Amino acid sequence: MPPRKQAASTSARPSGAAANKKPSAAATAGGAKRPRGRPSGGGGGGTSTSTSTSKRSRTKAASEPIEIDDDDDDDEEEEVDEDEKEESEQEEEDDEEDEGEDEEDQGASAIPPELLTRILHEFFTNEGTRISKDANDAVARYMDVFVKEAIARAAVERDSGFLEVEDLEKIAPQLLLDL
Amino acid sequence: MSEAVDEDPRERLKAALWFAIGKMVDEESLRKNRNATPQFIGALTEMVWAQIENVAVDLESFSQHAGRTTVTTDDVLLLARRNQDLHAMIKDLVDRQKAAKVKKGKSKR
Repeated sequence: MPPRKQAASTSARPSGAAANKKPSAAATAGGAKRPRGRPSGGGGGGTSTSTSTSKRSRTKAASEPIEIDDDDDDDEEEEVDEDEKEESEQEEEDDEEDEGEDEEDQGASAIPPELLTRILHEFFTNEGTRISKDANDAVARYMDVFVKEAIARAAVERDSGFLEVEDLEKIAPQLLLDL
Repeated sequence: MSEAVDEDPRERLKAALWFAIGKMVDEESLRKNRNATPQFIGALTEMVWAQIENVAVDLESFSQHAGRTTVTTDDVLLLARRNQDLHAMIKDLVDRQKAAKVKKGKSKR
């Protein structure tokens, strides 16, 4: 039952927030209509936009005109910010909190899209492999479900008290097989 | 020496992931009125890290199999083929993304 419930609760929230998703989804992926390349290229643009997106996502009105121009601005943003990448990573943690508040209806604080892209690229064996923005969001949703499912299953194992590593160990094999 | 440099970005990525997952766990803990030890969060982060690794390799293989270099939502949906509920959830997200795109396209005109 818990897995079904979980599915119902996590899917119920996003439906209310389709409107909210637009500005934040478009904003966070300012450079991401194009597939994201290796971190030095696309990631730098991605993370640099993350600092500006937290401000963008606040003003929905302002975000719409910006969205139209996004495709044109992509080239400039991606080239410029290789140096800012390291600084923006530290700022990412602050920005994550801002983005978390905006995405609250989404079942918030999912893994930040830029972070996910960076990690995915870390594991791609082919240098040329890229990922589309929608696919990145889909993977974020997948990992979101994964984490919530893990927590829910671990909570079932233990009636009360703290969730321990042992609970995770108990549910891990079945979880990995199911997902 | 070079090994330390290679591991550094990974360590930072893991730390960032740890932070994000910590937030998710805290949220869920509030909702369920439960608590989780830091070790739990650490172990969960390791698990997520490993899962992302598998996901990345699979996605790359799927897109290569389709003769592409870009991973698309179709590849992600293929990932979820084993679990119907999961597949439905991701398909729901993808459909909403497409609908939002169509809306945006109309509003531009």
